[in-house]
Amino acid sequence: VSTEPDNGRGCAAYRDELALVALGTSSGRERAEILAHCEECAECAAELERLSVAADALLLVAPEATPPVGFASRVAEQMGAGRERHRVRTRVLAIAVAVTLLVGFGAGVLATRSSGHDNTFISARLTSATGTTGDVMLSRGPNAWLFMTLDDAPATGQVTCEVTLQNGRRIAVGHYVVRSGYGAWAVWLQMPATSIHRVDVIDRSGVVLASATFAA
Amino acid sequence: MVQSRTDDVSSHREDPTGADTASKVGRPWRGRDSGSLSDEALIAGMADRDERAGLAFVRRHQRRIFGIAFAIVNDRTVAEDVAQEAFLRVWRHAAVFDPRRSSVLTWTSRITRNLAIDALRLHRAFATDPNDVIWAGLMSEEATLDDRAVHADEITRAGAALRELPTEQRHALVRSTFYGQSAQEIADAEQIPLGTAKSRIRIGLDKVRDALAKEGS
Repeated sequence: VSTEPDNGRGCAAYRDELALVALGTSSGRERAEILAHCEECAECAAELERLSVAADALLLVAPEATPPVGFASRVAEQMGAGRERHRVRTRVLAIAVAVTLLVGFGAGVLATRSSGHDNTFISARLTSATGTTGDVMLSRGPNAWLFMTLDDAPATGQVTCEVTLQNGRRIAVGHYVVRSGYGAWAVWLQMPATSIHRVDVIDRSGVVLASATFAA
Repeated sequence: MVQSRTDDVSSHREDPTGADTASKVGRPWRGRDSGSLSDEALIAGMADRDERAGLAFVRRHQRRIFGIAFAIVNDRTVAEDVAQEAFLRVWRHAAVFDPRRSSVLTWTSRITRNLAIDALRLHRAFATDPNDVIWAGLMSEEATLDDRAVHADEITRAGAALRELPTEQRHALVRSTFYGQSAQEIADAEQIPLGTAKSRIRIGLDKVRDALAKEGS
């Protein structure tokens, strides 16, 4: 490790911390400080690279072990199930597009005298405690369709979809089933998209699992 | 490039420069025996959602990945869950794997290690008794190695270096590597000053680094 000084601390002062960063056990602050130093110090950066290679090799020292019978097949099935979930999501989105076109066509016919009416979706991300977990789309027009997809959401089993209107009124619009965090559904709200402030996914005990908020 | 142990799926983002990543390497797995393909080719297959590539990858590395998971959690049921989730994450994020940053096996191993440590913390069950079967397995010179393993030589040398460390350095390094324990946690467990814990980890890892550099040069 170089002994060149850096921000008042010589490289020697970073020796222990370089190892901890390589092993992934330093705190966020320490890691940030070390990486910032390595941005300016090629020798320490190279040393961190070497220590990271050593840490990786060390991890592989764990003895191999035979997993339970059928393990590979079960994992492959899950990979296939993921594809199926993707297909379901794609199907729902295709339905959404088809409905939009139909609604757009109908509204277009009805609105020929009020040109400029835009029949497209407005959308918002569904977020939960674990981050973004899906999307909600609302078709514009007097009677909105709501389309929702859940991806890797922290939920499984029956959930309730509840909308909160701009005036604060809350309406449960349907009950749906989420399988291992994945689900997709559509519902005709019979109210304009602009009247909707928020959409919540709620579990059976009343806990809000995910929410999407629309601008007023 | 600076690279650290905390790499996970999240750190393998697509290169904004548009440089090659696994998803852009073509489709070499098509029409070939998947057993003869490199890990990089199988990752490219997974990025293209080819389940045969996924199955071949799992079959090739299941003993290694399950072994890492089991070494950390010391429970076959939990280890199976961890290994399965690790492979599924590789499957889901295959398109953003960057072969310039690490090998496929290294990437998968890190994911497994991080998931296993999360599982340990969830169950609050740290297997840290140096006399238990896990430590014995890590210290065994008869650890099985797949002849086809790309890293076989590296693993052998790292294992030898680990076994040659003084006990206190080995304990500190294994706690850090396999159980993700911080220097403070190790200091508390071993009842030693924090500075001593850090030094033991660093000196131990330095020796493994030296062993790899010497033999590999």
